[in-house]
Amino acid sequence: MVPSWQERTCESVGVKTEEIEKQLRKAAERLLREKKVDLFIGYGPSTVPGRTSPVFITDPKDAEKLIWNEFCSINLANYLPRYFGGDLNNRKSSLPNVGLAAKGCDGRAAVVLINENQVPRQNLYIVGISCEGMAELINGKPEKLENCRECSYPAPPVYDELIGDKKISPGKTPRFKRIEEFRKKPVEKRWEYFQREMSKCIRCYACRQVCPTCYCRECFTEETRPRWQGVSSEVSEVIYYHLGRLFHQAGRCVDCGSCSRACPVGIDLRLFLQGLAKDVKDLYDYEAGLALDQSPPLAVFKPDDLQGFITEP
Amino acid sequence: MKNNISIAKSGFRKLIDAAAKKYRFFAPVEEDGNVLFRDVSEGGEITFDYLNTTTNPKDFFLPRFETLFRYNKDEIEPVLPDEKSFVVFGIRPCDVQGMTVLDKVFLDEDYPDGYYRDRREKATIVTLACNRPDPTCFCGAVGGGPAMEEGSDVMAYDLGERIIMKPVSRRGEDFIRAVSGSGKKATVAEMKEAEKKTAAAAEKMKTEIDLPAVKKSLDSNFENEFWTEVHQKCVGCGICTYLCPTCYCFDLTDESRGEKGKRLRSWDSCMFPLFTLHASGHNPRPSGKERLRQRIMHKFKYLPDNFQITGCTGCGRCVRECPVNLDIREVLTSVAVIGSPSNNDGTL
Repeated sequence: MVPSWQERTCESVGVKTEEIEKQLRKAAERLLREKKVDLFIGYGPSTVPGRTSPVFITDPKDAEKLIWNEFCSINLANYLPRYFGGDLNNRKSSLPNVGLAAKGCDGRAAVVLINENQVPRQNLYIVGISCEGMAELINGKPEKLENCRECSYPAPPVYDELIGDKKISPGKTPRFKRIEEFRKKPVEKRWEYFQREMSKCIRCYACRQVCPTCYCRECFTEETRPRWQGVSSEVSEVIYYHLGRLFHQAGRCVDCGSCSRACPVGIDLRLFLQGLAKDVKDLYDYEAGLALDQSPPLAVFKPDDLQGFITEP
Repeated sequence: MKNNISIAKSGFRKLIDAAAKKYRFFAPVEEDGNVLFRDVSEGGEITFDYLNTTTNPKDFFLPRFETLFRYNKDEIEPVLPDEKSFVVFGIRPCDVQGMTVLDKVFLDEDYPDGYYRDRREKATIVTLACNRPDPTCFCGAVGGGPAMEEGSDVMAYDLGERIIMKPVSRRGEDFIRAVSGSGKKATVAEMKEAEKKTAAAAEKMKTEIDLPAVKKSLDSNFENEFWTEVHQKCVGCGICTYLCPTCYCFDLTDESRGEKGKRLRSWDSCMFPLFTLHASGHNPRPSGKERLRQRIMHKFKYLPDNFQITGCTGCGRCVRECPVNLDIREVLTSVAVIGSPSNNDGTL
């Protein structure tokens, strides 16, 4: 008999998710059988209720292991860079072909990775899924995730095939609502909140490790020659790390919410990332991961760029 | 038995006030959705309603970071320890078992660690037995239990309205003596009820892990394809090790400006790329495969080999908090059968 904790949970919320699951398995099976991909990354069941766990499938027979339900919130694009050596200018002779089950946010992260030369488009097969929003269990009941309630792009903007309707309706809560409310507070209150959130940090780096667009092979916080920052968890050190990471996400974060969900002490990282996303949208009319020919606003220079931030010394 | 006391939860402040004359008093407090140990000697609301604290109490003895000493050119300025004794109320038995693992390492006869020993000697551990384990708890499978006394100074039991306390060491007796005025003697019926509740909790835990089989398999499978498969989903964060009550790996760093500086000891994690990175640039654990293997080997082979103790207490934090559900119970179940026919594809 299988002990109870090993009975993997696989909650389903009705016909629609079951249909998606069926199509997803079919697609993965076909892609692997026809050798269009060497590996398919999707979701499998979890030992903890209200979660799923990534699965890496190489045998078409194993496509049956794939599941689809309202708890597929992990951003699977996070796994892509490792298959391509991280540096495409210095690529190995033969790269694998990888299939990816991608919701809107996974798909957008994949686009950022392609645009930043971390993943070759031709080696990635995106099985897009029109996503109705993911949930987490709160007191045993599924509740839609905050970033899903505010999601503007539930279907991936770039895909090789799509399961579901491309014209799926976006989240109903206005985007940037929380950050707009937050910014109305006086600067002292905001600073106090920021410091309070930061002071929880134990520097486990889960926020960075689950982030699909955090792929630096050596993070500044861990560089030792020279060492940019200390090892303690004093709030100034923690802030230094988080500011470094957060600002590096400006114009790159796809709002999948992974960092906030992974944080074991519940730091509200998403709020600060939303602030940066809003600024980039307002200043450059840019959102990350929407098209393959996008140039990241903070990585290019245009003669008509805003110059107001430059001040005389 | 005659020293067992019974305290109304509503009157717990009285107990803290009595204890605070002699000790700093730490207890679980709810803070922004986390349950953390806080000094409540001067005030603060204790919670009794928690599965376990979010982070674990190893922080009391092996802090996330600490300054070992300061220096100025060739002068060394020691960092003096806090003089006052302290009580930690509400540690769960699994985390106390974690301390017994840390004790083996840091109170080793030949190489005792003064910083650790000093804090350990000042501490009185009041363990709160578990009535409601989570499905992710598995202390029973690794030699513990919801009312395990080993390592504690006082065992406490939650009877709903009241907390029963039973001293199990001399330090525990000192504590009970200091606070006995704030409660009454526990009755035989109360002690029976406490026993019943924790026995029921033990019944609820179903996980079984064949530790001898795991050890035997690890002895001969350092090199095995299994490790290539099993680490795949790991994202390489430090949640499992930082929340683990037995993980004690640390790093030593000098932080200096000019001739002045300080030497810090901080937690390290075998999951991190800097862990065991040599000055030459070589790293014997270059990828997730070697790192996950190290975590499993350390807990279930090296600690049993070196200290005859298992490096896992079943607290379940790594199971609950892993962002990708890399469940150590499943890893161990698979390790136990590496190479056997029941594990035909070597995957999880």
